[in-house]
Amino acid sequence: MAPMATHPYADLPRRAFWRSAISERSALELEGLYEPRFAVDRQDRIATAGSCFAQHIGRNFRERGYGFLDLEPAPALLPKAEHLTYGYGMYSARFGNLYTPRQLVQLFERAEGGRAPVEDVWIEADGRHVDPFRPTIEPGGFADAADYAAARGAHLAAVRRIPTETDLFVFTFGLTESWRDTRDGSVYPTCPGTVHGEFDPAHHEFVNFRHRELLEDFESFMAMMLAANPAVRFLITVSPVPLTATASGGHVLSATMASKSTLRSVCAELVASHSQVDYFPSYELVASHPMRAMFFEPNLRTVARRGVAHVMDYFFTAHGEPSAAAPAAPVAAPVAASGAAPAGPAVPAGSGSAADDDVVCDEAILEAFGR
Amino acid sequence: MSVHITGNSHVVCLRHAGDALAEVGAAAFPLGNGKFESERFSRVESGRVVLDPEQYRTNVERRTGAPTIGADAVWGFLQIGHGARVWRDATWLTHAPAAVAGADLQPVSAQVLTAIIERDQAGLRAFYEDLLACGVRFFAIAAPAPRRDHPALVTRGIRPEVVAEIDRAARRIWRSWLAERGVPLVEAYDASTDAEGFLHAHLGATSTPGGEPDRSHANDEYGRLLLPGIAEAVRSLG
Repeated sequence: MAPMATHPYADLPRRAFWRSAISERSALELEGLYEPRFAVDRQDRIATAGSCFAQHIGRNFRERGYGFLDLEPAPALLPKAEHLTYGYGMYSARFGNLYTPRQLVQLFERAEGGRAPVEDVWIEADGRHVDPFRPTIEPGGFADAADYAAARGAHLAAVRRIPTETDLFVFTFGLTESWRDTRDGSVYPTCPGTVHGEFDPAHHEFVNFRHRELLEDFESFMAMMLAANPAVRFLITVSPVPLTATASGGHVLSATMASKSTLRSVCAELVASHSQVDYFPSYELVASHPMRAMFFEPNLRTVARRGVAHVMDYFFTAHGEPSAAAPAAPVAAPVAASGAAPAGPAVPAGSGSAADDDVVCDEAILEAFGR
Repeated sequence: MSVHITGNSHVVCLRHAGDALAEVGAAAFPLGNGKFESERFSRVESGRVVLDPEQYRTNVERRTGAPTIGADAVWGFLQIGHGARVWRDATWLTHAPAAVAGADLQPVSAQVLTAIIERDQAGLRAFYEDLLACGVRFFAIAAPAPRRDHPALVTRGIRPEVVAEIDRAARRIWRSWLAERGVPLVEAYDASTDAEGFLHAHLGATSTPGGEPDRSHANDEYGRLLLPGIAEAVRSLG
């Protein structure tokens, strides 16, 4: 008797097939989208950085009792409602948003004394000093040179502690597009002249980082971290937030797709190459087409609070935590392409956008320049 | 015209100045505990300022016959606009104003320090806005500078330079806020402080009226330094 025909697809789990994993399920019930490569527990010291979506990750770690590393804590007398205004508690140090791995690498280079930017302060007309590498950390700028120097010195000292005091480094890739100084390659989180500073076409140029550059930058960062702390692990994600604006010359939708696709590909490469790296699919959970944009606000850019809750619940549930976001009121699940309503639980209700009140997105200022 | 001088525990420095105050038609009495000052403690009703803490209302009524404050008298308020609630906090064991943070304390920028101080002054500012809205003629009296033997320094271990820096910043912010609103401020800062901004030792009270050791307040001699300014403020408002 001839042996029964078999092939590599025969024994694959349901999550491997589009029909059983996606088409026949509610988008809110996807299974196996994230299977942690390593455990994350409350004893881990967790540092976070990245684009503004990363703020949600850090906040959730803190609120759920994990060991969120905060090396520049707010003075206790500053009202909690004002912490984010001054960049406290946003990430593990007051570095503000780090949209690209180049920014990340250069931050640590500056902290270690290996990089001294040509343009290391922007002095406003009123004499206030702005840090070009975290221009929104003090909304009105620092009072004077001494005020700025003290803050920068303490900040970089805090950054220097991260490699040896971190068990898990969480980074959210945000953008490929950036602006840099032609003289020394220093990359800014915002285009000079938008939030603070002055744009100088002789010294400031647009850059759209390529896959190879992004990969090399993050691997360079990893090497630096691992040299100081061989046990450190990395959890990487891609922000689902589209570009506010593109300077690439193309359409913002195409630019967004190119940017996010490149970043997602870099993440895949990092996971494939390094056992210390895991990827969490926050991008897929919010921005992939099976989600039908249900987690975006009507502008299709801002992630709604319920979207953040969904993403974070997915992460912590995968790590054995109970869901934190019980549905407050049912909201109809979206109608499938076939017209049949998909089965599954209601979307956790929640009003307002996640960006309204609890994250700071520097690049959103570009919206003001739109026509 | 009645002139009422009142305030928190720092008004103790005027308790023996009755005769001098009487010369300008004024009398001093305690309003109550300063702990109420950082949160809103007043509101406006029927053109008069209502004080929410019962002890404030009781003391005002006992001395003026009415539990509320209106435009029928001149008032002087000696309250904490100078940041004592801020500088005595344990925050400053880990943080410090940037100018004096050194290498081991986390610097707090001028802007963040201002936000902290303004938050502390919020209740007092609201009270003064209420007084202005009701047309009350009033002036502010600065509380004394910090003492070197204050428990925040001696027991808690907050550095003197940190205390002095916060005190200076708070006074600067308070003066500016009052000046913008045309509220007179009576001070004896220059005459009562040393080069580092601390109250001269001989101006410190040694014991409370109840006989307890006092390491926070100023004495009658400091009160006497205030009298010319108070007289001038009363004349200007009367």
